[in-house]
Amino acid sequence: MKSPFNRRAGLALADPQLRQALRTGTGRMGEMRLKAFESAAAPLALRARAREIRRRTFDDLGRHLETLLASLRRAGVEVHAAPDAGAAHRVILDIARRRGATLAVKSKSMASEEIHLNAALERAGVRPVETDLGEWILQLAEETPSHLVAPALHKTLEQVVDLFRRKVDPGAPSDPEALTALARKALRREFLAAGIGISGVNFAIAETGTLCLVTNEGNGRLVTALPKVHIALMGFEKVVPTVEEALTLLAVLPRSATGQKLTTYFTMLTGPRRPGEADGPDEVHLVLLDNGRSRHLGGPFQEAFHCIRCGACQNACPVFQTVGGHTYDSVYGGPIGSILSPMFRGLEASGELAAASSLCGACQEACPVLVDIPRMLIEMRGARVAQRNISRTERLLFRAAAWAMRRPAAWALSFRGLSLLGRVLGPRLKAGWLPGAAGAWARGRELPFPARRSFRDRWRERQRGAGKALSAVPPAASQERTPEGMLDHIRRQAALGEGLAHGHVPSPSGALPEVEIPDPAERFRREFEAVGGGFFRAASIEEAKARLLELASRWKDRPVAVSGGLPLPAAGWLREAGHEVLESAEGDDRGRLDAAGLGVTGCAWAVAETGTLVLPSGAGRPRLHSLLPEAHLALVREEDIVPHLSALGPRIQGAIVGGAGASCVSLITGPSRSADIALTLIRGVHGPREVYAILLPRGVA
Amino acid sequence: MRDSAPPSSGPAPRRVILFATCLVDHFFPEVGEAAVHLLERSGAEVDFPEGLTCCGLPHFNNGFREEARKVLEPQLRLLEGDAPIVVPSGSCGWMLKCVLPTLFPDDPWKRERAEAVSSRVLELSQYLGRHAPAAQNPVLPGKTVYHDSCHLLRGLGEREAPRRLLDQAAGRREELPGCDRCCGFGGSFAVKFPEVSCAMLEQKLDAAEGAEADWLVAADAGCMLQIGGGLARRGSRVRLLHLAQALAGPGAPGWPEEAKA
Repeated sequence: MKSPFNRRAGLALADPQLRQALRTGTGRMGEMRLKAFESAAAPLALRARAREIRRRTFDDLGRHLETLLASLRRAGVEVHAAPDAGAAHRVILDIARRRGATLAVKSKSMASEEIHLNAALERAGVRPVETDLGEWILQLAEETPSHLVAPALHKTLEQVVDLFRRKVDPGAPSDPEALTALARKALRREFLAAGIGISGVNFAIAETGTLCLVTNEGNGRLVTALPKVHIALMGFEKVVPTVEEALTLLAVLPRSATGQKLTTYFTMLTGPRRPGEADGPDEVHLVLLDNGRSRHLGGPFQEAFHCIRCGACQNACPVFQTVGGHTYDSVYGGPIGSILSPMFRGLEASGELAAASSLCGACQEACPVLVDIPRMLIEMRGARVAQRNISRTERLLFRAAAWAMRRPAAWALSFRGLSLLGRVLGPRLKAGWLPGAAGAWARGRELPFPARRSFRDRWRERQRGAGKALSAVPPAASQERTPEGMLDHIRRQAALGEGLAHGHVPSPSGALPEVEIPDPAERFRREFEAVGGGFFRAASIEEAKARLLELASRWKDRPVAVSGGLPLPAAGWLREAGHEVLESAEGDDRGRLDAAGLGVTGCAWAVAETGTLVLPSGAGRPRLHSLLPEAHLALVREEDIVPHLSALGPRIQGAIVGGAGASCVSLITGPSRSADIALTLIRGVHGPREVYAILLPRGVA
Repeated sequence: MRDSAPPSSGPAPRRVILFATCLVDHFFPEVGEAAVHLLERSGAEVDFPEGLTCCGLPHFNNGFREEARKVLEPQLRLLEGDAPIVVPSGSCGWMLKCVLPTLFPDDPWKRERAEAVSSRVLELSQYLGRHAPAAQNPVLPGKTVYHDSCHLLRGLGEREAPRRLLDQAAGRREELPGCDRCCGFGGSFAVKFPEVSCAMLEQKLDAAEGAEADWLVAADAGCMLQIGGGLARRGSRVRLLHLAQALAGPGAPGWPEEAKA
């Protein structure tokens, strides 16, 4: 009888479409990851720093969580503790009931999958709508995600087309771009109508109380900007001490997940909308989830909390590549999932997950924070042995082998017996009727039998022939020691710590090296264009004006959204040219904004190395201007270009806590995009299809 | 931690201990013979102490940590001294090098002894790469590809040594597509999840056959069980060699009888 994992694996192996999707999907993501790290000055040092950040956070987890709690409350976020899934459900349903909400839009959250939130919402009469394209596809298909970042990785284009025709529109087209447009239209309606937005959290920054979301499609921004209530759900392991450290983790997360230097959107949310801000939720809740986590603090599996959910280990794992995420029958599949799932569900319920790995170490090699997954898989197996959670046969077999290995003569004799058996029976053995392990082996491999004459036999003969004496045991080193020597020794022991290291990891020291950028404006142009942005360098104000009007004229009959505080009088120019202009002063006019063709904003900083625009929200600077219109144009002053992401730390920290404070800081890198349908890159999934930047000469405004 | 590698300059160590491993001892004795040949050729005197059985990796990897410790403890005194301990298998080398010192967390004395042993452990290609004079002429005709065994590559971090040695010994070596991808052995994994294991193996075999290799070289007896079993089942024309056999070459001790060069 096949075990459950083997049964599911058998189904996966027999599905050629699935195997093809897995092969191309994991293969391409793996290649893109390797390529993305080439752009970092010192990839391994960067990863080692990221690992150090995660490790140190857990050295002092209590303090960081305390700081986070205080910061969140200061920012006006209501924090709820959820010891288990049921408690999380109650908290979320209470909020929905109080607000009379019947529709909740969701951005991707593995924690919500973990607690089966959608089912709980449906039971309570709240319709949950997944808005990540991949998650939406799975919701339509009534399936669960099979991958941490590409949830519908297992689906081929044909399957998605078929699904859309059955569930969305019988006349659904068959190319990914048109399918995505269909999804955009359907989901935009949901966004505008939803009373509640539910999101996960990638990082929660303790010093500022900021909840960060890493997305590409823009659904994470819409979920947290349109509904009046935002509920964020996260396991407590997502805490990161400072803005600067969050940015370092951000430098490794997209690279590892999708091979991007940065995802399109990095959204930093600090509390509900501030006075004077035109949009954003009135209410923000954080549901802090335990659900089996805390019992593992300080234990052998604590390191699994370092995981930043990039999915690189899944792409790298030969088992995952072969059988896919669903075979693991858990929300978190693949190597890290085989640790996380038993941690959350209980080791007793972990089944065969820990055993379903060849311990090849490819997962740790790929992990951006170098989590020693093989070590923990072995620990997990050990826990099952300790709990007597393995078969009697297995226990007996290993016990007997250990017994014989301590007795060289008995050990040798057992192989002599096997060898004889092989010579007598070997030629007559048929794979079909072999029992147990031998039968399993013989399914696809010839059965090996021990050699007639072992190496030991041959060695002895050779030594006799050469007239050499059998080797003598060298004398053991002197064991005498002084008390001081022993104390020294113990100190060294304590310092060794960590136990077994699977790979070689350098320790970071000092500042991380960065690639030098001699001409930041030029580099910004290159990177901005590389992510699909349209760039124009204006030599004069007149040139900037001409280009702005030219762009706006492409959406002649539709309103233009224009943010306040721009370095140029864009609103006036556009009105003069006959455009309907929506300004932030007019408030949260989402219906009109939805119809807008172009949104014009400024930008506080631009990052040269990644081609990123940084937009803090504020009075006159709504989030929706860079989000709802079809195209987004940012006016960038040359003096606001910073060379590296790492230079943003103090600036963003200041924007969040200083003065009025921005409830939302958006990092925007290129147009909204998704690759959730058959890994085809599509622009304009939820956010703008096109992004433009006009670089203004120095000294403007 | 003390320096793990013997100095690469200076005269080669006079005496080395061969930790043949249980799989080589009983399933691939020729590999042991080839290893002895290579070590002696490099100027070392080889010792294979009576009483060595298994490194305990099967127990350790399956969660029988205590049993692994019990298996290794009596062997430690056979491994003491100054001589390098050479292991012709990446996974067993990893066990002795990286795991052994962690098996005695509560006993500082034993831990120190274990560390003294593990600090002298080198996988065969690591030892030869440092102490054997470069081979003069290639001995292996045809096309050779190398399969990285996971524990040698990622456990011991050794990618280059086997390649450098093979480049000297083989007439023509090419990189095997997916060379660092697990062959699907993984010890108990191979029998607990036979279909998955075999599917992983198929990819390895397809890659070797697709490369039209004459010789597929591995540096771990575990991979050899798996890949060898698969090649035999297929009746493939690709021949499997252990790194030691490939380096020693046709006609040298340990050359597989049935393999025609």
